[in-house]
Amino acid sequence: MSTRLKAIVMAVGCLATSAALADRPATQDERLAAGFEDPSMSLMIRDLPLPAGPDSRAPDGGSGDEWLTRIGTAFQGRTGDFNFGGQAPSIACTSGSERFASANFDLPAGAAIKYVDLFAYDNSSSENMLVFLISVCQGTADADPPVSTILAQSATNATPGDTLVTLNLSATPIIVDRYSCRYMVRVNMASPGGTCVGGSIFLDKVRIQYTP
Amino acid sequence: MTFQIIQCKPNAVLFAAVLALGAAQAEAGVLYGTDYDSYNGRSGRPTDSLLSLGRDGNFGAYCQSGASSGRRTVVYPFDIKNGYEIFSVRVWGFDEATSNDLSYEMVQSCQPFLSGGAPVRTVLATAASSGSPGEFSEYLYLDQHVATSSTCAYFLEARFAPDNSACAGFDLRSVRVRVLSNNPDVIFRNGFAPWGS
Repeated sequence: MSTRLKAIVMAVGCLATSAALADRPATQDERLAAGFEDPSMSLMIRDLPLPAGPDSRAPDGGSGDEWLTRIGTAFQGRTGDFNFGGQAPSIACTSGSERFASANFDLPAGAAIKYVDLFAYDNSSSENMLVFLISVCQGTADADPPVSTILAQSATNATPGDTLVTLNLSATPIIVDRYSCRYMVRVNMASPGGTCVGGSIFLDKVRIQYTP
Repeated sequence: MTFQIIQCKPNAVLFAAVLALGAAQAEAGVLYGTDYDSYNGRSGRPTDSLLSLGRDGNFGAYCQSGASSGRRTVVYPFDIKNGYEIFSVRVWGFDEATSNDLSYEMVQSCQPFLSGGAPVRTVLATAASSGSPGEFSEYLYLDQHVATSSTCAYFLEARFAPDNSACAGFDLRSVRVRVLSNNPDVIFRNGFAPWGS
């Protein structure tokens, strides 16, 4: 292959990667699933490739990785209508239709977010729990409105009982920008029906594995 | 007698001075990679949306719930790095309630590293107010418990009353919580500790 052809192939590859990582506006369904009903709020979606292969991480961190955990009890309802209860560390959404809760993750500047692990219990035949890693970024000195971006998302599936859902970002880690952005995890505890199912779904904790 | 010993052994004077200085620095949190984290009482997270919490003038929390359904606990989650030693938790509060005391449990909650599993709660230490002393402070000793933050979470749970029971209101308040942990890997036992330790 000629040098020129190699350069063209590489350029096309780079463009393809850039296109894959580009943020796009969320659809209405995506907004509703993540609890962003207000149309004045800017919500973007990043379609990161999430590897689905076997997970061979070790609990000692190996390469110097660290963990930051938010227990279910640390998650705060999106509004005061969020009804919850449970023995710490777990919470269930006990009643009603307000089913969203979030927790901030204060990570060091420049940290690389590699994995987000949702530990949950799902014994509901009608509902699943969705999990979103979200950044909220804003101009550093201007009064621009914030832009929220769903960096990755997944969900519990069927009725596994105790379960783990992983957002594997290790191929394209999220680099923490503390200057302009905040990072949080949001859960939707009743999807798709929208009505909380009490003790059929519990949020135990969310753990982020990162490289400082 | 003491004066004579000091006169005869100037090295002992120097040693005592070093010890005293070291103790002062340990209080300031610069020796041995020590971390202190303090929390306002009101920053505790209720474990139940049915729990009605109030805030006193010192950012303390009190439970306003009467005899109705729901838990009567708040939780203080701790961010403790993997491998750090948890030395102790000190709590401050106010108890003028004749009916209730404020009790605390330091909890470790663990789950499998890479699979689903029910949280396993282990109470590492407990403390409680007693009687109605007014201002109080209690100490939960954790004996350098090594944190395994890859699989476990750590939090303090404060209880104002038995579940579904009436709280004592403003007479029973959780004012402050402080956790003391230690990075065992600090090499320089002075202000040259690694960034972020």
